[in-house]
Amino acid sequence: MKKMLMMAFLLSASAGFAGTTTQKWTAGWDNFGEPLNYTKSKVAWSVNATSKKLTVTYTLVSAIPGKLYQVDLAFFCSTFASTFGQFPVQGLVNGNDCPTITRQNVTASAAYSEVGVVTTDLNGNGVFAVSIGPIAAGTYKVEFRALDGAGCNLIGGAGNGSDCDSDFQSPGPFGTTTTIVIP
Amino acid sequence: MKRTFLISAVLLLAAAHAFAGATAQKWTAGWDNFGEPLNYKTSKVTWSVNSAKKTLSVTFKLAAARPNKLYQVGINFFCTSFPATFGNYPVNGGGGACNTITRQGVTLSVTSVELGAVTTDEHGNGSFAVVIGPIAAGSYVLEFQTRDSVGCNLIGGDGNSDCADDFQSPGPTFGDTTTITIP
Repeated sequence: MKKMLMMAFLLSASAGFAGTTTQKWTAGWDNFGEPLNYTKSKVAWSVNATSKKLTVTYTLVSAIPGKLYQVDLAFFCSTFASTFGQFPVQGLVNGNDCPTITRQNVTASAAYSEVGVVTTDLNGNGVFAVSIGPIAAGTYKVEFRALDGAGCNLIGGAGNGSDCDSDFQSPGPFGTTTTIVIP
Repeated sequence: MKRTFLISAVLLLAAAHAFAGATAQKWTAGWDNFGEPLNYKTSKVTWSVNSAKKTLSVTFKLAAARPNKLYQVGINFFCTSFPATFGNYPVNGGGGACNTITRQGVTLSVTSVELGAVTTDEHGNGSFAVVIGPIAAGSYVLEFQTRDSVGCNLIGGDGNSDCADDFQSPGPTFGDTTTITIP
């Protein structure tokens, strides 16, 4: 009986926690000369179907030492809700429309959630992990990004200047997305 | 059987020695700003030393601070002189003689390291975790600090225009310290 209860618990836990997906960074979509070890740098994410949470870990290796890189999710959309989990969605126009932009010769509509900052050490290495949720059920087409500074659409940083430019994207190039399903 | 038990006990003791228990501290206001919102009951700094790896792990947690804001977090050391690095992070000013400053009516010599950023969500909640090391053996007398913005002594924020300290731990007065020993 005990063994059966344990099996049931383990099965239920494994259903809640899907496996972690690891993706590489690519350059851009605005800046293409920022240093990075693309072999060792990565974005890792997983969905907990029970708690409706998305966990993301952004890792940068051999970027510029002592620098702030704001990290976010770019959603490719025609319309989008005003929040993604506990984070506000930035860039929406006319209510909840996703504005169109052109990067790398591709035109697409997108909106963004700014979720944190990777701060690099004296070797240019840094990590930031965040848990987002609960998130509304749906299928989300996203790119992860690292921006060229910190403060874009947030209080307390460099504001909305060149720090909003994207140094690194995953998967990339612009418009090549990852699909994340929240059940 | 006895031998297995003994080996297990020795391994457990060794592991317990290497991973000292985590210490959780509360934030207090200041030492520069005293009006920044924060839930002082649920906000905290948690730290632990891994004596085998000579690393210090720190988690900075803010609850009910200002929503969608960037707060830079770091360590303020009380010292007469200090090396140029603290683990994998550069010491502001490049090390050497520590600078004398006066806050809350207390005059002391200090230097500091910038470790990362807490980004708050729409509820004003956020956290940042970092592992620092390997750190040179010694006893470090310090306060953890949260600055009112990001970019102080780092690239990619608003520079050194707003290095003011919103929260200190332990406090409540500048110079109330925690001692961390790296064996």
